[in-house]
Amino acid sequence: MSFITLEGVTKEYSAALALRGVDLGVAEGEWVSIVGPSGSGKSTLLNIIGGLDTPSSGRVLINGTDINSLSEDGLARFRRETIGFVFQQSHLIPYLDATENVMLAQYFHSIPDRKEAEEALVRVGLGHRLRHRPPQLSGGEQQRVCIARAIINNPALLLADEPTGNLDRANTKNVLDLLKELYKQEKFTVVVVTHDPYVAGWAERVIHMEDGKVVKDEQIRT
Amino acid sequence: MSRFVLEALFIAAKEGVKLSLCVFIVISLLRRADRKQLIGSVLVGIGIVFVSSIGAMSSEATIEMRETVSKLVGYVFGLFYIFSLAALFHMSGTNMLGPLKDVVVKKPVLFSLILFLTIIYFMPDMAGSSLYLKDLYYMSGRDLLVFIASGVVFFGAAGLSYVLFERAGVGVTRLFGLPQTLLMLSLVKLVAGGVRGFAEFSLIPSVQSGLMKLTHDAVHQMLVMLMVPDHPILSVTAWNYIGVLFGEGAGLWLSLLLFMLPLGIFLTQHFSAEPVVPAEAKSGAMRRKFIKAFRDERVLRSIPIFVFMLFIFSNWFVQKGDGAYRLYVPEPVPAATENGVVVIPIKSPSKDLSDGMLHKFSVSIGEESIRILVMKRPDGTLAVCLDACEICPPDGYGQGKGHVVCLYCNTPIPYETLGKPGGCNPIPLAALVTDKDIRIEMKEVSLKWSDVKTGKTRESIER
Repeated sequence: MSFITLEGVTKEYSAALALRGVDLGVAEGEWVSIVGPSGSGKSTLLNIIGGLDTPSSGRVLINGTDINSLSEDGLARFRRETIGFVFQQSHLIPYLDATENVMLAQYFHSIPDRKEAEEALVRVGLGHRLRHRPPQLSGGEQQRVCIARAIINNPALLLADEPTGNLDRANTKNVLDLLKELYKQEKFTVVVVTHDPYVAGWAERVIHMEDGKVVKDEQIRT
Repeated sequence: MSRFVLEALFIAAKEGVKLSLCVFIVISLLRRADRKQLIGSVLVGIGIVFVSSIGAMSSEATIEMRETVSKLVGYVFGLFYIFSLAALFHMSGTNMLGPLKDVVVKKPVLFSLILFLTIIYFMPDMAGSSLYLKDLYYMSGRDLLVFIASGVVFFGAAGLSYVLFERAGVGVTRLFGLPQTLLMLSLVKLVAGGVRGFAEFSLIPSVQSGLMKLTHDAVHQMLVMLMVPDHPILSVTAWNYIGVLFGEGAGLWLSLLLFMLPLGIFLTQHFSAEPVVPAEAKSGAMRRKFIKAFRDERVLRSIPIFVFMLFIFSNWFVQKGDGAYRLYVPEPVPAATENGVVVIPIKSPSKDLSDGMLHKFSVSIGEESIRILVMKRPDGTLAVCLDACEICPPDGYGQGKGHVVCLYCNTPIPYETLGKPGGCNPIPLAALVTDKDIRIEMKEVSLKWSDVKTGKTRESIER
């Protein structure tokens, strides 16, 4: 049984269909990239998988749970306990330091624990930047804080939307190296949305989307 | 609809809502504790109580029986309060059951225990209310509507409120573990335990007077143990200081301490306990989630305790306000004598000796004036005594709330013990009490008074 199952998922906005009946399965512990041109529906699909958006029709099951059947509170609980998010923009709180930004995710999950947050930052190579606020960090470092924030609650699924979109190639490689290392250690499932073939190439499987549909599904490594 | 039928409806509605609230809390607890099979014992218990209440209606209940039923409300409150304290400390790690720890969790034992607790919890209120309904039936001129309407309202209120509690109150039941449930059951007794009204059980005054008596006896016993002759050599001034120990103020504060201290100790222990994270919580997130759940439950479970403390404090505060008054010390009224017999009419245009107030009379022997005290006791009989005790100089008594007070040493004497011989009680006089008057031989007054005056009684105590 797939860890993520999408059955006939459509998403209709006022004038256009963003998704046109997507069927998809992602196994537990798999690293999948979703690629496609702008407007192909890949970010919409990621938001629907993450419960940030709802499909117009169809079902989304994560680890057997139909997330659209959950109440608002239930969905929020499910998100904070099961999913970690990394976005293109870091969305870090500018007046909190790196540790406090990670602790904020702990707070919304359960209770903050400074020691554990600092350990997570050390793991992503920011042991020397614990008390630095986001404006004092480089783009690559900010994205590392985001990864620490995403994994701090031990998620089973990590969703990343253009995680290296703002980074140069060297920093992109550093961030992806880090993600790969954590992926191997933590054994979570990863879904990365990107338009960059270099980033997509780090996955085990690449799903190509066009015009709201899956047009190609290729296994590039096992 | 007559006043009596309306009163019956109120009693029935109150009992119905109270029953369903208590049953709902208990059943929710049993469900959460995965002890659904014990729900039957609660229902059987209620069935027994209901049948017994019907039986009580058909019996000839004496005044003593009715008073016992009313007192039982207070005893049940005390019992459940003590059980809840024991459960609170047991749940927080102190073994309060000793070797019985493994026995009480067995199904037959639990079934019997719950059945017994259900019966003793509901019996006083239901039986007392049933007896009162019977009274209302007679007072209304045998209007059957009293029974019919109250029966319909009782079952209607119980059923309807149970449905409402099931729908709206399930989330609230998270607040109640076993100790909190027991505490809430005792609180229900306190605030709605009346069998003729909403709440008749007055907690603080009864506890206060009990503590005053206990302290008083302890002080006297202490003097005996130290071999200090009691009253005879201690001056009024000394007794005014010693009397503070068992005066109303000390009793009031002690009663507050008695209820608040165990709960305060528990709350301190409760909030300082550290969670023991199970080994299964391997990741940091799981550990934090466990600690969060532990802390949330700790806060939720403390809410009923704070509610209970608030009610106790309110009760105490009201009593403190009520207690801020002077003792009632009536002026003695000269009593008539006929052929060597003192005759005091029970009712006169200016006096009714059955009005629950302290009454004093004086008779003269030679140039000396002797005071006699008459007062109605809670059992309805009249106490006839000298206005003096065997121990203190004969300063007499004043009336407080629920007790009379020795004007010499501030000792509170509960109304119930008026007329009983010995100790600090007023010295009883042998008297003939009829519907019309009280007759006391002058010889009796003179003899008892001479013992007081000469200190004979005090000497015998010293010996």
